[in-house]
Amino acid sequence: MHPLRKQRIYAIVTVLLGVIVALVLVMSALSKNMNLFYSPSELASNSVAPGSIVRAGGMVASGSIQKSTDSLKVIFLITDFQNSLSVTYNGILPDLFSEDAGVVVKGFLKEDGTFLAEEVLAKHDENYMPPEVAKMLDKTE
Amino acid sequence: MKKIIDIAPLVVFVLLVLALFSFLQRDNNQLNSVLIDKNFPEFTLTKLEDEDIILSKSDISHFPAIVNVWATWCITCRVEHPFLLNLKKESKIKIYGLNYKDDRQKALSLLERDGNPFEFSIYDKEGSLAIDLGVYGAPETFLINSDGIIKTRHVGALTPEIWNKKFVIHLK
Amino acid sequence: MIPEIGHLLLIGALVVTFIGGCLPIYEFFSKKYYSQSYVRPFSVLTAFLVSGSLICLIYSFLVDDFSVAYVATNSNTLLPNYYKFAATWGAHEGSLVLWVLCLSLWLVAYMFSKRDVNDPFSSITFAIMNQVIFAFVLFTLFTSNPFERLLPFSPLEGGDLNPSLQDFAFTIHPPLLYLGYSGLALPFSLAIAAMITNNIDSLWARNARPWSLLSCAFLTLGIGLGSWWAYYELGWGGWWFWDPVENAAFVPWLISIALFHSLIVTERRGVFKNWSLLLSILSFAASLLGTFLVRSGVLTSVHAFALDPERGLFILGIFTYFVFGALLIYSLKNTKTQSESTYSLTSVEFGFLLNNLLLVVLAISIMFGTIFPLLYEAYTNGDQVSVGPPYFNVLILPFAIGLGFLQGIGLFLGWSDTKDFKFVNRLLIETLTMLIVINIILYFLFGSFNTGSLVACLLFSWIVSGNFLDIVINKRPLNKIKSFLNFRLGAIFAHLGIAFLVLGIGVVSSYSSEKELLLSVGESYDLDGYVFEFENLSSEKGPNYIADVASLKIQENAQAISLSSEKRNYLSANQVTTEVGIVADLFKDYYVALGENIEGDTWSFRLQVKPFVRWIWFGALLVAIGTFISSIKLLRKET
Repeated sequence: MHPLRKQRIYAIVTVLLGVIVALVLVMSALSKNMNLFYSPSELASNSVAPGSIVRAGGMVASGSIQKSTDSLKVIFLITDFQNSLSVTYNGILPDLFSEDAGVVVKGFLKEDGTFLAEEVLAKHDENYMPPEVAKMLDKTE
Repeated sequence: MKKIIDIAPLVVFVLLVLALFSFLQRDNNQLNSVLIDKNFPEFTLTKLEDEDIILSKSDISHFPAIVNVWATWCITCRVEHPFLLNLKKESKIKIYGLNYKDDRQKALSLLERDGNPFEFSIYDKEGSLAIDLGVYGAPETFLINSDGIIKTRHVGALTPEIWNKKFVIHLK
Repeated sequence: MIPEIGHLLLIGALVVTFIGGCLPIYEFFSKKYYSQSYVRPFSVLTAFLVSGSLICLIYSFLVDDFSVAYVATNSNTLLPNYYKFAATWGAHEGSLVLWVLCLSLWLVAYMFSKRDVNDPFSSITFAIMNQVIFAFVLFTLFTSNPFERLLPFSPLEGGDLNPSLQDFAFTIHPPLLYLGYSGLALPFSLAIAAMITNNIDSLWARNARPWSLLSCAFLTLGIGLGSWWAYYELGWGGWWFWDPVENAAFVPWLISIALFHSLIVTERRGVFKNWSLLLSILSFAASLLGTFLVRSGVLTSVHAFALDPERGLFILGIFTYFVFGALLIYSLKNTKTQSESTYSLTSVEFGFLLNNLLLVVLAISIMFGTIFPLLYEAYTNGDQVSVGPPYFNVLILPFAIGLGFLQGIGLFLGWSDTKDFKFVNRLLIETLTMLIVINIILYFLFGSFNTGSLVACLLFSWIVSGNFLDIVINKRPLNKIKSFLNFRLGAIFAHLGIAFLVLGIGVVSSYSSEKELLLSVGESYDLDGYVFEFENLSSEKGPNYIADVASLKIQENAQAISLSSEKRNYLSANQVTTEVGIVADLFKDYYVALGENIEGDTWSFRLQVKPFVRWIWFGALLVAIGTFISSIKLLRKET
């Protein structure tokens, strides 16, 4: 075979192989690390399996923040104005976290219907709502 | 064969652009979908200027009007304040205020100090009306046309240019 | 008055770049050449007009001209002068003027880098660059005019005093990034010129390479600085979050690296022409795409610019015009001048091919992960997902290993074929030796082994052996070492930089200690051998804030180290921020973030020890130095 031809084939095979390996890698990484986002109502409706890592969002309900005095445990309610979700978090809350502000939490639903948060995300200005939460609230209108 | 390889990037690119365009459209629709072409939502909140007076949707009665979301903690709101004062002076449009997650006394002091462009302000301490309106934050302004329908909204400080470009067209 | 002048200067730039963007194209296709010596004066004129415009904007900030809407929304009389100056590019409208200025400066640099620019190739390059500048000036004037006035309702006070933006690193981060992003327009323009004038050859590759290197250097600095800022400002001890805005810079960075490597092959052997052309187009496309994603509002991010679909549409239009146009020209280009020399599977050409492939596939995978939430939402009618750091972390590992492997053997491979494989044995021995030494040191420092850091150490040893150690040990006599090092100085610095980067990442990911806890004044906590004592709490008053300051003492063997962390309350803005306490030595950072007051004198704290974290930014700095060295060397040898 003409050496040039051979080389072209090697090059094409390499590229194709690379692309296929990458696709497999991407798809598997994505399926394992894609977190669905739910509103408190969706979580209350039993459509989400307990134990799987998901994200939930809503507004932190007024007066619902309960802080422990001897540990970092904090419990608060997030609401989409139709349902509320009780969230438990063990750790330091972000500076922007406050009542009547939007928040997104990442964690899982426990058997008892409360949510155990591994991460609390309040990245936006305390008086702005994270767009995911805003979109979700729009949907529940 | 060669030609296909040469054209492939172009085709992939066109698909990408179409996808990006569709994202923009969705986003656009989402920002507006909530209340555009609808009436102002129902609410029950006190008047900023007098906590014994309960306001409701029927108090937003003079159209065309704008509803301006503001607060004392919102520094950017100070930027549009002179414009709002002038708007009250120069035009027939009614300006209603939505005092968002604020302290009543502080808000009243600000209005006394800087001037009050509002017919009255709704005291929305919890932000419940703001949620119904789909408010992102302060400042934000909603335009209600002469038929009482919300026609547009602007996130951020109102400037003459934005007023002319985005709001005036709905006032004809 | 001044804002009007600023506005007019931009309009002037619009006119000049319109002419500059059209004239050479017309001349080329009609074969009517007017005096082509206008390219240099025009470039200088454009740069003057745009800098003049930016100066007017800066002036407006410095004199607190709140009749200008942009100044009113982004400044405040209480802002120190330096931050008023930097606020010019702190938000969308002003940052665009900076972007345009960077573009014009690159154009001037190119036009004066060569002795002779009176050829069609140079003038088409000039034309395309002008078109890019024109597009961005048009975008600015039509959708994002920073000179818009509030008259006659000028507020007396400005609207923004965001404390986290009042930071030195944060202010120089955008100019560096924009120089990187905009710089990619130059190889892009050169590629188009090469295709149009049918000069797809070594000379084109030689011309394009220094500019891709320079863009990469600036992107490296911009990204590195951004990472460092995030580390000390955000309080979590993290330095990379795979945030869409970070990815928007990382993707063009990866592609620019593939680009300048590919250009080496095109320059030396005349092959990889298609790769080099496509990478030139792709790198600028990635730069534009990043700009689109960050400014159109489609992506939610920690620091995305103002949500505005109208602007998004305009950027999409710009993106489409340039990339579609370039790809169209690419598909129509003359392919008759393709020379083909052959190369084996063990040649440096093949190594570069793998390099290109790995970098591009990684870049596309990262971009895919970044926009996947948008795709998902669009095609499931509203369900939302997020693609978090785990996806990207899992993805990048195999690519890092593959690329690291190539970096180690790269300098040993031969053109067309490699005949001498003696280096393999030496390399393996050197790598193993280094690996053992480092792991002994790490064990001594941290008391355990860890597979994650082992991989990082392996890559580090491999790359350092292949790029430095073996050369020094093996090449004799001394003057031969010197000349080899000198010839490859840029590459060596850059590859060593990557090695340090990888090592830093591996060690800090594996050996970090972290604890969130409650401490009362006087209490201590032993974090993996480091004893943190909460000494006392005091109050401090700043210019516009009140702070609670926690002082801590860390006992490390016989030494006592003090540091403090603050919680600042900005009363007027109703905002609370955390000032992290960091004390660093060569091998680690102590990192303390004050939480909140739980009760009495009990506060929550986040305590961290982060080993080798600075090596990450040190590595990034070396990469930037290396790419700068290579590009300057190329430019100095330019005819």
